[in-house]
Amino acid sequence: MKRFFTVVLSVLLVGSLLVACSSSNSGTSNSGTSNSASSSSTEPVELTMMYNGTATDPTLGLVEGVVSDFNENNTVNAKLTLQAYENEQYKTKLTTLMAANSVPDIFFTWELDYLRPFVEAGKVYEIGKLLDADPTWKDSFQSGVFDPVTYNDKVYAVPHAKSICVMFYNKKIFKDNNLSIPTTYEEFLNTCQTLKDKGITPIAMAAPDAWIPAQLVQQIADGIGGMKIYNGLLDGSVKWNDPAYIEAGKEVQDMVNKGYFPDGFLGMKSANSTQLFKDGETAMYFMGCWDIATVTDKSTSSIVDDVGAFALPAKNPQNNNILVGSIDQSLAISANSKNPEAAAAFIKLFGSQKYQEEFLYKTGRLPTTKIDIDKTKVSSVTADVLDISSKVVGLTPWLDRAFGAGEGVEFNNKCQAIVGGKDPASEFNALQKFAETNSDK
Amino acid sequence: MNKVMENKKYILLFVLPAFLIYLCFSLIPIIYNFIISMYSTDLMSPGIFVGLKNYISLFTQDDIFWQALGNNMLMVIGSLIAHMPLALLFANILFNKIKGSRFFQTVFFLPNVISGVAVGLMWSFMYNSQFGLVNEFLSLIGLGRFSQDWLANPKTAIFAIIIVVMWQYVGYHMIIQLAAMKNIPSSLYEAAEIDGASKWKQFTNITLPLIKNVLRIDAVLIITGSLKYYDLVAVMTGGGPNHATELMSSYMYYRGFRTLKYGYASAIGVILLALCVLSLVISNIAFKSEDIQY
Repeated sequence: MKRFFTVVLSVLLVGSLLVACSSSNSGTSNSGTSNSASSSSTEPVELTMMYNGTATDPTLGLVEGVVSDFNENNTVNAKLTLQAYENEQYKTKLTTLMAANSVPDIFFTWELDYLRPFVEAGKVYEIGKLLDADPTWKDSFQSGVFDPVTYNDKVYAVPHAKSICVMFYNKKIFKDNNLSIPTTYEEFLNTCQTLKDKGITPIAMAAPDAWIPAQLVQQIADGIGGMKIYNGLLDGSVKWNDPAYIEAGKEVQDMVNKGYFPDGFLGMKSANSTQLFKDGETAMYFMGCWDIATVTDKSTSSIVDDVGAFALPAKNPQNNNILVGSIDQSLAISANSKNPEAAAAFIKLFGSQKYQEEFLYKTGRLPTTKIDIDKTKVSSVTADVLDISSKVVGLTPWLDRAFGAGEGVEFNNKCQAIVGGKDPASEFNALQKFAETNSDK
Repeated sequence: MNKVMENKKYILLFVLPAFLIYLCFSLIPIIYNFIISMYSTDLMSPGIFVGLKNYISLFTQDDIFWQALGNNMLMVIGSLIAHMPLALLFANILFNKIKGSRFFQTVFFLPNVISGVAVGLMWSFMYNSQFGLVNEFLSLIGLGRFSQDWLANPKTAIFAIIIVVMWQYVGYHMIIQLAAMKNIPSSLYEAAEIDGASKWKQFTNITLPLIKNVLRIDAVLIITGSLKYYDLVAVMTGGGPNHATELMSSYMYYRGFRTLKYGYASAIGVILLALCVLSLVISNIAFKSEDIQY
């Protein structure tokens, strides 16, 4: 009897192990059946989308709206499930799933070098084929918006917003202190000094998220060196320790030393620094225009009607209106999606006039499609941003997108060190050294 | 039952499940990790074999790696100080049955029960430059000029984290050492008492030699623990500002998941493993002792 019991137990133990190992395979076993099933059977096609956003982000609510609209009204017999993750988690999850070959059908992505390794590894479906097959869809987009998601002349993602970095400002504080929008870089610095002298912190910023100080350094560098320092980085003719970047680093460090940023900004959470601006405690706030939704959110902001925006004036005036900016809200389809057509139907809905308008009017996202903008429906700050956008002569995408995870992220780290007091020249020299050795690892 | 155990087949059957799990999730990944550390790969496209190049550039070109290694060494030193002499002192005090020794045992052990994330958040608040307890305390005792942003200042950030680690695990090692002390027969102490040995003599001549075996294991735990330490850094600073608090484990994560250099990250992992094995060998030599039977 004992013997019998032992045998049964052993078999159970080993058996449970085998079951655990094999169950993971069952999910992928029917990969061959693909599209033919979707049109004939009544069982809806299951799609999954991975999106970057948290519950506090007002855009996520709108995305959920598009998903439920799609699930109720789509003609491709599909059912889409949305999974949303916080920014850092999202990046980890996506790279892991890419390596494991199990990315959901649709995924949120950034452009340029962020998407490039995935495209080159053949993990991304070439959505350009579907765009070409549907000229009305393709023609609804403004010219040039596909450039940052085009690799080897093929389009791999569809962008749904344009982003530029603007200086938000508090109109009431400006008016109370007889300040007007600065038109030159000197005027901008004078504005900061005037505010500082009156005991008002000029600019809200948080340094622990390294990209936040970095985008300000990049913007000032753009104002010094223009488009050519960005294009030069791309083709290798400009180095990371270019005088323009070092000078920009010094400018920002100067602003730190003069106390233009809040006390303790080096350790401040980014939400807290935004809140300082929203509480009317700082006069300005430099950020991508996606934060229109946040600064005009009635439940947390006390300055909803007092927010305006201007483009940071360039140090060399001939570089005015060259801004840090790019496309945003890009959606791509994974190469192992069984139903790229159904997935594309969702992306098409996402970029439809109805939702491009909704994103613009409710959250201030600049559209990538050619829609007629009803100026009366946008908030005054959105109108400002649209105005800035129409005057843009050149956009330099965020360097951590253009140069992806290696040099781009290191650029952010170096800028973080610079606002923390490190010498700009030696930091950017170190970055150049990093760049020279990073490519072949 | 003896009859069952005599049959080698049954032993095999019982060991097999655990061994398979160990093989799948420990042994094979370690070997695989070692193999890809010789490649330049993002795990998506086929990797390029580069031999030992990843290791060479880690040691010759990578300042951040040296920074991380240095931080790990600081962590090892800090932990050894707090978790050996200090924990031993606490354990010895409690061993001598002072009033409320059970209460203090619980108090010292308490930080171990809290999850690392909660500990990290709690200390982040304490270190906060705006409303943190640390700065408040400093200005209270007239040292306000030293108050600063502890976690954002590259010079202080790593020490701020090491102090938390020292605080968090001192109770854990104290309990291990205390348990070892309680195994020593009280007759030895009674004899020493009669011979007129002082408490210090009793500690150095009876307690210390008899818990040496446990101290050896404890030293291995402390050193390997601080070498592969990760969670507080991830919660409190994420390796920043500008890699000032980077540890080897967090740098490995950054290299793998953020810059997609998985081969390079694996090389860091192999070095980490080698250092852990090395520390095991060194502690075995340093605490050489024979098994004691009472």
